[in-house]
Amino acid sequence: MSQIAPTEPASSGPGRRDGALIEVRNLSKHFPVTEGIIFRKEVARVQAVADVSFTLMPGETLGLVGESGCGKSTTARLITKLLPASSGQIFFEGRDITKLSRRDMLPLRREIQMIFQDPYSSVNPKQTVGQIIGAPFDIHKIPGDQKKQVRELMDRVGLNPEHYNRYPHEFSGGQRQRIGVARALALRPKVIICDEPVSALDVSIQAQILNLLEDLQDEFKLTYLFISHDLGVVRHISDRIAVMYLGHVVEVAQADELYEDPKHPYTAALLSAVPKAYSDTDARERVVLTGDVPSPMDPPSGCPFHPRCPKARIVAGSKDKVPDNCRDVMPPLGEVASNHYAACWYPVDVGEKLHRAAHA
Amino acid sequence: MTQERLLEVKDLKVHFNTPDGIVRAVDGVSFKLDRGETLGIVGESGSGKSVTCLTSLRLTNLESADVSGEVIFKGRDLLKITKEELRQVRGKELSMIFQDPFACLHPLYKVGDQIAEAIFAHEDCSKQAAKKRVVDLLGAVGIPRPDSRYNDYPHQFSGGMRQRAMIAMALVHNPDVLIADEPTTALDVTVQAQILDLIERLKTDFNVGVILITHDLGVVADVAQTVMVMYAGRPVEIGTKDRVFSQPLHPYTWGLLESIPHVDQKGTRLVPIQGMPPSLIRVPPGCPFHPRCPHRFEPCDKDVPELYDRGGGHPDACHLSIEDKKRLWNERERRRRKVAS
Amino acid sequence: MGRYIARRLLYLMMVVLIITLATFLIFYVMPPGDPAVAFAGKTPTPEVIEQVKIQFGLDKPIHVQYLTFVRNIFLGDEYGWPGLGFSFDTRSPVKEELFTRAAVTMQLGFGAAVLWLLVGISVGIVSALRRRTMVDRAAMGFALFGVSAPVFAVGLFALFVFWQQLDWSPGTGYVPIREDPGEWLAHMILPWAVLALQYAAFYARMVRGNLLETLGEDYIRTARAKGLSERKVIGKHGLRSSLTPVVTIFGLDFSLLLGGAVLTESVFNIPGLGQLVISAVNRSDIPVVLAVTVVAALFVTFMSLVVDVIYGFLDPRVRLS
Repeated sequence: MSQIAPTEPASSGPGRRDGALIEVRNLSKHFPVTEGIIFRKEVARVQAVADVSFTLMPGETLGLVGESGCGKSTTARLITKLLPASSGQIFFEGRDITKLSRRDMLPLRREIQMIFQDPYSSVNPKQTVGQIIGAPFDIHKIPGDQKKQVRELMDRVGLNPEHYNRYPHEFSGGQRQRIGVARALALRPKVIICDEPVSALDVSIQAQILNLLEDLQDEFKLTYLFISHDLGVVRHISDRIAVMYLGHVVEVAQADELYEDPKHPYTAALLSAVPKAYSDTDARERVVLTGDVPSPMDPPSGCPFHPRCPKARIVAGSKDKVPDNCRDVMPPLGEVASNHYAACWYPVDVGEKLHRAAHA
Repeated sequence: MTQERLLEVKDLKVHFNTPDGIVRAVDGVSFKLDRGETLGIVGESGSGKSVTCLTSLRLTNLESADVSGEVIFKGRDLLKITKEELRQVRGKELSMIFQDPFACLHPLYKVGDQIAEAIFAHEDCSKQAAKKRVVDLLGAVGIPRPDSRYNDYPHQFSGGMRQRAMIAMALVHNPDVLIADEPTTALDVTVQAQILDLIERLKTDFNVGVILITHDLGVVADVAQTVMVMYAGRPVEIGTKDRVFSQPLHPYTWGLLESIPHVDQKGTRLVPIQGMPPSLIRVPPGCPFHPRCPHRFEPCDKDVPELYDRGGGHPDACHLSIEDKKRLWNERERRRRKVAS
Repeated sequence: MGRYIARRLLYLMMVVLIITLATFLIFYVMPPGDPAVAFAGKTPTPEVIEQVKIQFGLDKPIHVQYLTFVRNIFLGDEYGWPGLGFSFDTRSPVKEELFTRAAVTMQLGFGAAVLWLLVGISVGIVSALRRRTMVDRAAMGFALFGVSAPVFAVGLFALFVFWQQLDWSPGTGYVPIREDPGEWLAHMILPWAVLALQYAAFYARMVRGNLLETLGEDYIRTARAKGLSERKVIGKHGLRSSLTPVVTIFGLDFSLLLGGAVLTESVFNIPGLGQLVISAVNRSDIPVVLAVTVVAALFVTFMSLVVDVIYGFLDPRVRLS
């Protein structure tokens, strides 16, 4: 049966590694909910990101998966400092950038770029593609033949450089995402944070963009933080994967290890919920979770997953009960196997079937 | 075992007149649906899968569209019957649920009342009786505390619950056919699993025919018995799920299957389909897929391949011979497995 | 909801304070010359001016004057509540004059509002449902004319046609309803129609646009797919969404109108608030101008609160707990 997970503090887990490019330590973000007739007082808070720690090693791709509202996009915004963190620290190449001012941050912006889900809504539709891709050169006052550099970039990402003077609306979704990639690539950053970059694209186009991202990574030695809700895409592109649920990182492991041997019951349920085009495995073994994700304004006590957790019910031996520690204490992100971290009191055993519990 | 034919679409064409030209959204679609069957229609955006189904119920904007062909539902052509006859079919014998549950419920009316409205549209019924039926249905589709949820407005429901409410609305009159247009695309995967499970269960309980429109091959593989793959307004192949996934006949289907990253497989390099889907205003001559097809040859850019059954009940629209298809697919499969291992 | 209204009422008070301060500064402090001189008549002697100053408290420091002014509004003065001051010109309390005039403006505005709502909404609906037909084009042509035609021109033209030429109208002026309801109506019809024209045109365009947008919504498709008749689809699902925003606009339009339909009142010589303000400005009758401004501002802010509360009932998404 399952053993109690190790209880080392989270920061000694996946959050500390030497030579990390980006390191996030105990990062939290809450949004206040206020009320009052004249003086507004905080009556509640939405805990968007809760005590998240992870590292991003040079040259790797870390996938960040989770369902809508799990905090993955907020995490991206915290790292790029588009949002201020409520607490915790962000290190870039060992330097604490959490408190950096806008101006001190500027040189670092060259190193950390972002690609968004819908590149169209993140550009000025009145600018030509050349201006959009060239904008980073202007902002950072990079000397040289900007037009030539932009054309090279366009060529590199698979856009026709002849289209330098066209406007974004003249391009298809896939091509617009190539524009987004070119713009992110312009200043040769070290890290690109990809926030659902292929979610809006059709599968045949999605494959083209994923291949492009892989090629660019090899060519320019890029590091990716790849955020997506699509588990197939994340597995395809990531070296390591962090799974988020209700603001918490609940599991971190090497991609293959995570998919073949998920330790957190949420990860296991998530993976089994994905319908598979190649029916090698039996679809009826799906773990169908009951209920919706709880509101981040009123998160459950203890482990955030305990109200829906099939494993907790197996351990408690009843459909309606969960163990006390699941209900009361948030499990730390502990190392449950070599380099495999899970925040769970009762990690899933190898080959253990959870679907029976879910249907029981 | 005799099958009860519920729906048969014959050579449906929907052409929209726009200022830029004629958009051939649907260009010759034919399929059949029996009771108890789930037909999955797969395709990328612009393949005409949604327009096909919306037009079957005359829900497209027909002012600016030319529609031809037949939609035979239980012996009547839905494209020809009167508006009143059509109204009596909609929501009673043939129901539909849509992609975006956030936009499909009226934001200003209570969810329960909107479902009750579907009852009143087709039968006289006291308010209390209708309410009771709605509450029972809400419970049946898995909404907790259905009697208090009856009085909620759509914005108080989560995405998954809204889709459940839509399903309840569609099932009010025990329809013969349920058309689900991308029912899980806007939902998270764990919620998607719940909804697919629900549709599956209801199909068995109510013995309906289901048409499931989706861009997600995984969803189709999960719930459909028959699969129709569409490209540029036309079906490229129709077959049983097992045939289409294990021995697909059309190069477009091959491309789709090789484009998806797999959850249960190591990250190998994807093989995308080259190029982009065509504009439906200027559909390429011949086979609409030929500009992107790696196996195109002599007739592909001239003759439009007809959907043609070469035996085995698995028709496809492609000029390649069946032997070539089997050889090419097996080669691709071998290559894929080799890279994977 | 209660909390929300309480907050809005507090906000309303603040707005009123700011408006009174602004108007007070504009009319008492900024203009050159002494208000007392204006009051004292054509040949003021220093004694008279001094007397006037004492009578109206103009001898006191400016902030004391302002505080008295505000206190009078909230607590009333010697002429009752609300204390709106004493007219320099008519030498009578502003309050009575103002309320009599407001009642006339109210009659004008109310009748016009009924007209423009009826015409505007029905034209808008018909236009949307018959989109791109002759009916739609004609209606929108009319709407374009209505929106762009200036009220004074339309008013004078209407008087010329219906009074001078056809003699269907008894002409300009106002007859109180208590004196002769028939005459009252005969005198009001033209002003109502002229005032309503512009709004009706604007509302027709707005309703048409809203309804067309609503009919493109997914939930309209749902309504059709569940087998509702087209009448129900449009009458219930379509109109509910497209008329809800009209409530907001109407509330604001109507409340602004009650500050005085200046042009219409002038053209038809109707003794409403608008005319009162114009004559007061012409004669530098500052207390009247001030009083009308304050009352109008109060009314507008109050109406916007009412509209928001009504909107909360109509649209559950903005309903506040």
